[in-house]
Amino acid sequence: MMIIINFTILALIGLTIWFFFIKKEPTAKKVQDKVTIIVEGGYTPSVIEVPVGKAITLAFHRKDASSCLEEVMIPDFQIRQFLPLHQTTEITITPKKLGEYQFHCGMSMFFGKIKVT
Amino acid sequence: MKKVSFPITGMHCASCAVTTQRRLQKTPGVISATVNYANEHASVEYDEKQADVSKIYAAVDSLGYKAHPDSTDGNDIITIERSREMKELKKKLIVSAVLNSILLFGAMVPFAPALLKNSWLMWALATPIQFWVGGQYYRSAFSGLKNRSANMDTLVALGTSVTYFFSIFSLIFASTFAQVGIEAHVYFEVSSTIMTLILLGKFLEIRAKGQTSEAMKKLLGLQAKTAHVLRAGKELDLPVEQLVKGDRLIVKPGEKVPIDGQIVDGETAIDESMVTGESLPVEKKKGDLVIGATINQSGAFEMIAMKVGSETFLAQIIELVKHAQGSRAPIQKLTDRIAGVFVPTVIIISLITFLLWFNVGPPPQFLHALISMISVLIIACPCALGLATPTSIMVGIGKGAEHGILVKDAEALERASKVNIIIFDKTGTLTEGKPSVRGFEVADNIDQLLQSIGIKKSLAKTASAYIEGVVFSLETKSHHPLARAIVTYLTDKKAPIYKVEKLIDIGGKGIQAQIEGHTILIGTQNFMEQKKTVPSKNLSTLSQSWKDQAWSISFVAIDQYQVGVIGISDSVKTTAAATIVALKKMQVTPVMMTGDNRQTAEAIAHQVGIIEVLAEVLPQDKEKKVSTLKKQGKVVAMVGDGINDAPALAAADVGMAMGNGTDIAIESAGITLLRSDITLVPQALKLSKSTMRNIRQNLAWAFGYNLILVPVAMGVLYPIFHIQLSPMLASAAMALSSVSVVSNALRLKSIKLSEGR
Repeated sequence: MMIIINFTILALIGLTIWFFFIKKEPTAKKVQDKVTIIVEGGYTPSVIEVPVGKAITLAFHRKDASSCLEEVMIPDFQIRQFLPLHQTTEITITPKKLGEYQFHCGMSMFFGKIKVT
Repeated sequence: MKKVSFPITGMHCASCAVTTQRRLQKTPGVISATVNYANEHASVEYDEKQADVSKIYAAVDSLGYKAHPDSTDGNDIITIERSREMKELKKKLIVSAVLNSILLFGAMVPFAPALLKNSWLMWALATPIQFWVGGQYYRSAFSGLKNRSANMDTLVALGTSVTYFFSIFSLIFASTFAQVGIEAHVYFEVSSTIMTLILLGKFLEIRAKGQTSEAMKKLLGLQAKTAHVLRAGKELDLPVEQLVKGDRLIVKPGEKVPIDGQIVDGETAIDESMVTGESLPVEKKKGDLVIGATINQSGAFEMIAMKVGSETFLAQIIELVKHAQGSRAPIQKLTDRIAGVFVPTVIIISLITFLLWFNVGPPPQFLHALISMISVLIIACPCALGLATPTSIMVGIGKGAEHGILVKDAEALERASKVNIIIFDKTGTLTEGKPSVRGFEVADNIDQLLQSIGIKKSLAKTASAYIEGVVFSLETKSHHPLARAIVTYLTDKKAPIYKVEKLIDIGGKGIQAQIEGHTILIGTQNFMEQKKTVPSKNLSTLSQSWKDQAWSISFVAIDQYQVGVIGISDSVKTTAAATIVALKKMQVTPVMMTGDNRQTAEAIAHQVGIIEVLAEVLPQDKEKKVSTLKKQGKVVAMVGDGINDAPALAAADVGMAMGNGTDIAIESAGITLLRSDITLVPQALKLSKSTMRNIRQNLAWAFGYNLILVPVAMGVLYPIFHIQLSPMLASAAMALSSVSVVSNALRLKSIKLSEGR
């Protein structure tokens, strides 16, 4: 019995590492002017690719009641936006420089990325 | 084409929404309109050439419903949502508190009735807490797992589930457990206590969080709602959103000034404290500018609306504060990185904890291992880490806004806390910035001089009048701040005007021009020496004594001969000296920078107590001086009016723009001081230092909490002290930790920025 339990726990450790740490960044969704991002246990899509110098509307639709996700922040654009539950909140940004910009929840636990190309 | 979206109230059925939508679509100029009954919102696209917002609002109002401005509803939604969430939590909290006390009574009290000690009843009591009260944790954990990410709710769901389900198995399969050598035990009171306490923590946290955005709510609440408008000779009461530029408004005593504009009739005193923090009422008369949302105290007046909607001063302040509160402080970088991997790491640590207890722990190994694992899952608190910095920033920046200190972003706030040198651009910061002519003298032998140069003195009766006229004619064309003082002085003396030719403005030194074929020079002593003019003895003596009194000196020369001297002084602000003392107490070195010559500059510096003086700095060199100090490794703040010294403000680590009400360009500097009050400078530094200290306390608390208590939960104290942390205590600690972070940030609201108050 001892052995079975030990192996189970070790397997769970392995599973946790694989599940949370060994994951590929999802392929970026190419966006031209507007994208709806579902806020539910994270952001879907979480990686978006946008052209430089164009106004992009990010429409965050929050489905998750967890207060962790009640705010979205895009620090490089100085945005902290409260997202009312079951509603779509639109944020428009115009990235002027190439690069990658993170967005995340108010407590920095869920992340997404805006790639400006 | 333009788009507008606004809430509508008064609609009581879906058909009302349809009617409103149809009415909007029929309004001339409207391209498309949708009205959503569910969220009581309308979105309208219109051609701004054919329609304007006031027509759109009027269309809604004509049906008996009410169109509302867009700007404030964002924050109302937060308030509504928060109170809805609080209500829901309160209901759950009451239910779980009642059930939980019965459970605890049965489990902990030896003389409790046998019925309450019955495991099956305990199961029945714990189940609604686990799934109805704890449902939100399960839902949140599950949606996170779908994205292969985890949050605090994942830990709560995991920890309580392990406790709850193990108890069920113990209850049903007690004999099987015994056969395979696992001790059976029922922990229903543990799982439900964890749920209840964490829920309580969440409740307190949300309540405290509501207070962090109070400053913003106050700002939004400042806006005036209606205005008395004169249209076609009639006085109408209209919502402020419907005002347009050029509207003539009436403001009565005791009312709020509805919008930014200019007084066209009447005079009054206005209380501007809510916007600029200025505590004394400001006298205003015809031609003066007034700020929307300030309070008209004494007289009625008429004004012309000059700025509406998002252009108003208040709207700009709100926008800036909103942005600043959303910015990220550099100090946050580390926590951001940690918060992202925190939860999975804790799960792994909890599993390792289980392995250690199970293999090397004292009997009953399985139960010890299980309890310690649960404690680790429950005690770890990522929220405290995540909340530490942003909450303090929100409160700190809000606090500043209430005192007339606008901070552009968290980075500026962080840098300001490290400032060790502060440069004052003298005019307008240390001095009133309203220079006036104190002396205007001509050479003793002026008649003789003019004759020898060959001047005809046309238009003027005396030699003095001629020189006054010459100076007046040149200075009216100059943009130098001192020129304005000279022009004001000579306008009163009714000096004659001559035709000016070939005018050259030599920045920071003087001006040169020709009048009736003679070369006129007006400028500093340096300028006069450079141009090799011939000095006059009495003028030199006079200028020397004026300089000792910290006056600025301008010489006048005609065809190489110095013929006159003008002494100008700008009075030092009464609060300047005390401010310098306050700065020195904060270990900040004050430096004065000015275009004045060294002697004048030092005289002023001496009056206010500044030792380091950068004198005779040309406007274009201000930026270089700032950079030089920065290169010496100093963290430099620069205080100026934000208009003339914009490059120097930008070059400094922290630029502080100081101005009076609407004439200041918000966003031109890292920190904007909304009134021309030098005491705001040490206050801004104090605000930044206090905020950064608060953040460091929060971070120390959040890191320390996790770094100390997670190992305690793992059982590091067991080998020596035989203490094993109970999961119930773990949940109490966790419930308190994020509340403490938010409460500590709220302490910032009560710090005193100004001394002696």
